[in-house]
Amino acid sequence: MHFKRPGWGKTLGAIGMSLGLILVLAFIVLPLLWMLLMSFKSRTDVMAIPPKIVFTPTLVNYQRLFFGTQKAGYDAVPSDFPRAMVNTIIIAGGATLLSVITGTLAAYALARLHFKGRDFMAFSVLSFRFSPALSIILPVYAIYRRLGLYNTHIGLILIYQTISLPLIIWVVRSYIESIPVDLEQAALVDGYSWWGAFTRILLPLIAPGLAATSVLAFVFCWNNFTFGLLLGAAETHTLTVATSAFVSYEQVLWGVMAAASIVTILPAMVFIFLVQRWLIRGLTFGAVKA
Amino acid sequence: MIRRWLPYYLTLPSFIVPTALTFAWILGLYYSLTDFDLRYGIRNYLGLGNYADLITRSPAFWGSVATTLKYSILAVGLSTPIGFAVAMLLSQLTGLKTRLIRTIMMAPLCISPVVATIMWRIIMGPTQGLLNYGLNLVGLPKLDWLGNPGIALWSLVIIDLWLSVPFVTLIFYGGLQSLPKTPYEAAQVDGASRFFTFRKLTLPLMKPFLMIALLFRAADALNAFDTIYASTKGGPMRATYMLNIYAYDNVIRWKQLGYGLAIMVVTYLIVYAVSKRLMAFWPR
Repeated sequence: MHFKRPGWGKTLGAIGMSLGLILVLAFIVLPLLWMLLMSFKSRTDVMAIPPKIVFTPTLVNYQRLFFGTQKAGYDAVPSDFPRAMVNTIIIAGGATLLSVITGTLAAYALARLHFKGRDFMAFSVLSFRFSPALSIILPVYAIYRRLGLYNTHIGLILIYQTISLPLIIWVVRSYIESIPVDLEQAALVDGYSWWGAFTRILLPLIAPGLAATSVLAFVFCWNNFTFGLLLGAAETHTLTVATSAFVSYEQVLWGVMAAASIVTILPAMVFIFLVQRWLIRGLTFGAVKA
Repeated sequence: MIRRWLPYYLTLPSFIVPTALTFAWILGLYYSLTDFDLRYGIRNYLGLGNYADLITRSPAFWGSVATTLKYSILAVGLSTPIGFAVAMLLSQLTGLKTRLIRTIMMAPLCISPVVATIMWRIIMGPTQGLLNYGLNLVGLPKLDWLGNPGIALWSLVIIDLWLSVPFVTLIFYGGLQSLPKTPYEAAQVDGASRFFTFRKLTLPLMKPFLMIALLFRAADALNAFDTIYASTKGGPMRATYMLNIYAYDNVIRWKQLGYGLAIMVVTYLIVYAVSKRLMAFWPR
């Protein structure tokens, strides 16, 4: 029993579909474009009503971000944005590196070896992804203040492990599981040690996935806000904290804020674009293998 | 003999930090039973005093529980069906168009929630914001998106949708791509209607992906902090005052670490109960 749809119904459906998609895409893209435009506007153009689409672009906001001064009490001090950038690179880079080294070994053990408490270990590290960040940060805040880890790069790198480590362990584990174990067993028969089989056979095979997952871990660390806000101060402020600091009660520097946001977004966007094929698997911790 | 201990040698380095943090968390559990004040330290052990106070006396607690739940239900309840619909639309397309749209949809996934919130503050600005200009163009009155207690929570939901719809869409899109072809061919041969195929075939097959999406979304919505902190900080008139903000205020503003941690323990239990329920569907 075949039911033929009338032609106009199909056309109407297609129009509705395209319209829906266009709406969703506009919802996603327009705010971004608007902010990009705003970052190139002068102070008067930013406040113009009706909003200006055509204007003379200026780099004044970016200039102010990197070379300008900001108020600290009654003094004018150099903008702390460049330092925030360096801080973020150190913290996100350090956290990712540490997680990649320790997490890959753990992922190998969790994927290939059978031992007591394996599932418990895997799920306990995953639970960091689902528990409220503040329930970990607040006690750590009290402990860090006592230990002198508050407002240090090391302290932040350690706490950022809660972002990068579950990701590395779970996703790399799922990569290892997707590779047949026979290859390694053959290597073991040929006289390789487990280490030799791991580094010479398995690592080259999972290298692309591992690299992509590291990039993802770096971006997640880069984007984090709460840890830097609560466990860091002026010396260790991250980009996200610095960007949010352009909103204060006495003045909102819309143009500079937009420029800061663009600078914060850009590296993450480039990175994600490079690894987009691996994105879904990373975001769902290996649960969706599309 | 080395084989026997190998798993533990390999996992140990990566578990040092999580173990330490778990101890910190347990210490936090203990702190929540005391009157830990960041200025004076612990003076008294209160037992369940903080919790009793929260439940019986704190005027902000039940309000923030209600706001947290309301926000989470709205955010998850809207992003999941919208994401599903967009994924269905996307899977009908082929070739270059799909790849282009997918790439565009990835943008919000790599943007920090705080930065996205700042972006929306620019768009939702009461005088010069783009959104109000748009309302003005079609002859509607301007709205104070984040300053009006009646709509501030909805504005937060809009910000959340911008961040989460692409995430949900890509999960469902991945799921739809992985569905087996044969049942669909059989359904077509039997002349099943599109609605019937969707209800009896697509939905059941997509259940694991639905659960994954719900698991991540529910946890993220219940734990929402960045977006609220960067926009309303719980205001106006506590219209967006959620559990995380309440705990933050107690600890950072009023120095009441013990009390703030009691709030976080309650939040943790809520998230744990929801996640545990959904975790049962984690595909192995």
